[in-house]
Amino acid sequence: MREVISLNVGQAGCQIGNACWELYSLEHGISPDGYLAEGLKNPKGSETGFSTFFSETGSGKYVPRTLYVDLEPNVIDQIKTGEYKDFFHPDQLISGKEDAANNFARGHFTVGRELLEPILDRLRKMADQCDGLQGFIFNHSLGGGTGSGLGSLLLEQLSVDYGKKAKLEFAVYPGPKVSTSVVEPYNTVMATSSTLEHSDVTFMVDNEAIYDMCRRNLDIARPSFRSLNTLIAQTISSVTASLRFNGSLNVDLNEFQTNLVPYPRIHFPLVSYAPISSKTKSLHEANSISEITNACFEPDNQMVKCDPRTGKYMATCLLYRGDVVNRDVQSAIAQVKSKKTVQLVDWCPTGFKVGICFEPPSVPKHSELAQPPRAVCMLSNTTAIAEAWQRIEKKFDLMFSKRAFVHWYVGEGMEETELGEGADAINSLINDYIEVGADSLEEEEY
Amino acid sequence: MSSDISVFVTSSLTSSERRISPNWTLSHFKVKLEQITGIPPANQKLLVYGSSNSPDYQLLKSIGSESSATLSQFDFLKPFVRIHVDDTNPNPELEELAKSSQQEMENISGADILNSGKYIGTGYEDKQDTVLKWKEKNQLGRFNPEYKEKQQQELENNIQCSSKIAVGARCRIKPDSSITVERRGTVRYVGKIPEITSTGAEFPWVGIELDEPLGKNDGSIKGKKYFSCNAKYGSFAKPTNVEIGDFPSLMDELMDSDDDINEEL
Repeated sequence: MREVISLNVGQAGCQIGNACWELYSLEHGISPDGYLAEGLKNPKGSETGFSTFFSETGSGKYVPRTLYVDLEPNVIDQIKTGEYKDFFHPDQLISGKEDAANNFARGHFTVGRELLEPILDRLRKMADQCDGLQGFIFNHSLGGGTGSGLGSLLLEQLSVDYGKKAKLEFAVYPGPKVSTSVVEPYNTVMATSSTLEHSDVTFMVDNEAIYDMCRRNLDIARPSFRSLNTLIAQTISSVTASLRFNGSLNVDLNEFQTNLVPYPRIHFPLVSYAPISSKTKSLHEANSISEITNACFEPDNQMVKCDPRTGKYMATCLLYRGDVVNRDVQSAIAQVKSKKTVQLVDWCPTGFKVGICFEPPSVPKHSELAQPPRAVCMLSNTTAIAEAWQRIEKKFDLMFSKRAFVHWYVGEGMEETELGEGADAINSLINDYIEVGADSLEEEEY
Repeated sequence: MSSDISVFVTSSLTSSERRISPNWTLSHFKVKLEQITGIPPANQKLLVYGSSNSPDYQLLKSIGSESSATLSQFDFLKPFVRIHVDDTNPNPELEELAKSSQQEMENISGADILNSGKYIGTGYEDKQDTVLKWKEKNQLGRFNPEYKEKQQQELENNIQCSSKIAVGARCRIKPDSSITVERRGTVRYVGKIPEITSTGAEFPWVGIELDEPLGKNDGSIKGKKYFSCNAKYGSFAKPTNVEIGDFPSLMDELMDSDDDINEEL
């Protein structure tokens, strides 16, 4: 067996985790109490696929391989009293008493460190129950205190304890315009720089991009986290579908890195998803393979705001699910390739890899999202994402040059120079992207 | 114990969804708000807006001590209200920050960074464990000896081709995967274009006035005029992609065939 353990850290991580497990249990036919849904003899999906994400107790109850971690108790208390209270083993839900106060340093050094031992103990027990643990999926946000601070601490520790086991990260990244807190740039820069060496692939999600999708495509006037997370869970589910069901590409966690990352640091693929459509709108849409494939190259369908036309593609994986015919996929890709907007890095091998999983997407009842017969999730490693790094570095510089709020970090035992070093690491990352985009053969025409 | 509710918190610098507990005291809440907005509790004025569109608000303040008043006593604190934190004693430095941040964000463009051909900041070349060092070590891109050779070869081929192309000649641009229609025109310029940096200063280009608006410019590159034509009729192509010969305008042919039809009628 090839088990995968999901780790959800901080409020955003835990809430995204909730949305994901709600969706996974729906897709596999598991009720919120952990037992099979009525009328089912076996969980949906191949046995090997299903058991990567769920363990079986022997009494017919299925338990998700996941750990929830938060420094303050409320989000996790909500799970313990909510609809899914019987879904998790109580020990899988770990919370502290005191929050990280939006401060990376509190999550990473002071408050967070106190919770590290119990978390690692629990994780060790879960890993021991696995025959062949293949790796971890990590959900957290970078802008707050717990997800960024404790999250990066845990990722570092996973490298120490589990060596080369694959680590896939889903990270909520600050949007281009609005900051969720004044110190968001500090937290993001510190979290990113300290995990740069410890994560194999990081899929970023920017809340502003998702907000816009909810407003534009789903007609939600004031989207709440719940709407956002339902949409984020849809894309995470598409990414992991090949691990959970029979798929043809990325059936193994390691494959994501092999297929998408040419050089270890350049591991931030852009995620696009289609179709995103409300129940009323979807009645008027065919969502053909060609349409949804094309939509993935539109900035409106991207999980991070940046302009892909300015960048060059290093690698692209198109993960289809549902009613999909390979021939139609090939012609849709040929159509996309003929467009000039897709520029490839040509000093390293690039290509379009295609994965098809015949399990169609599911949609929870409360979601505004329509349930389409097919969907596609595109993972593309493009230099265009450097724009997002450039934005955060700029925001950081503006604050750091005035030493604004630096005392909050120094007060938690961090040195001022550490902030500077963090920014320097991001600077190198941006330059890495510039270097990736360099030396491609020049344009044929001006 | 009543459960948390979700609200939106905004300030001049921030906007976010937050969970608040009705059991919190107002002073505790204000400490939390400082961590989000950066505004010290003493300077916070809290305005609660019921719905996003309505300009009406209620002030969140206690009559007695803030450390004994819990949030549960404010009945207008309902799920998804917006709490705006006003700074009664704004820090001019932060105000400045908010403004410049907004401007800077608008000025950031991925294209500028990625296609500048320059690194940002200093010291990148000296660092280990970078894409640059990796490319050097593995002879990738421009560090590949074949890459230089190929470029030299291409330059020579193009110089040779360009020697046979004269201003005034009729020509067509060979179709490629991006533009599959045949484009014909007249050669208006042959020679170096220092404004195109990617191919190097020695590279010869062919400026063509196309018969149809299927080009990229009006005969100028980065503001420098090499020849004059209407916008979208001008294009600069590599000599190897240009074919010289008797290529009359396709428009004329179209007209001719129209005439044929008319005659037949």
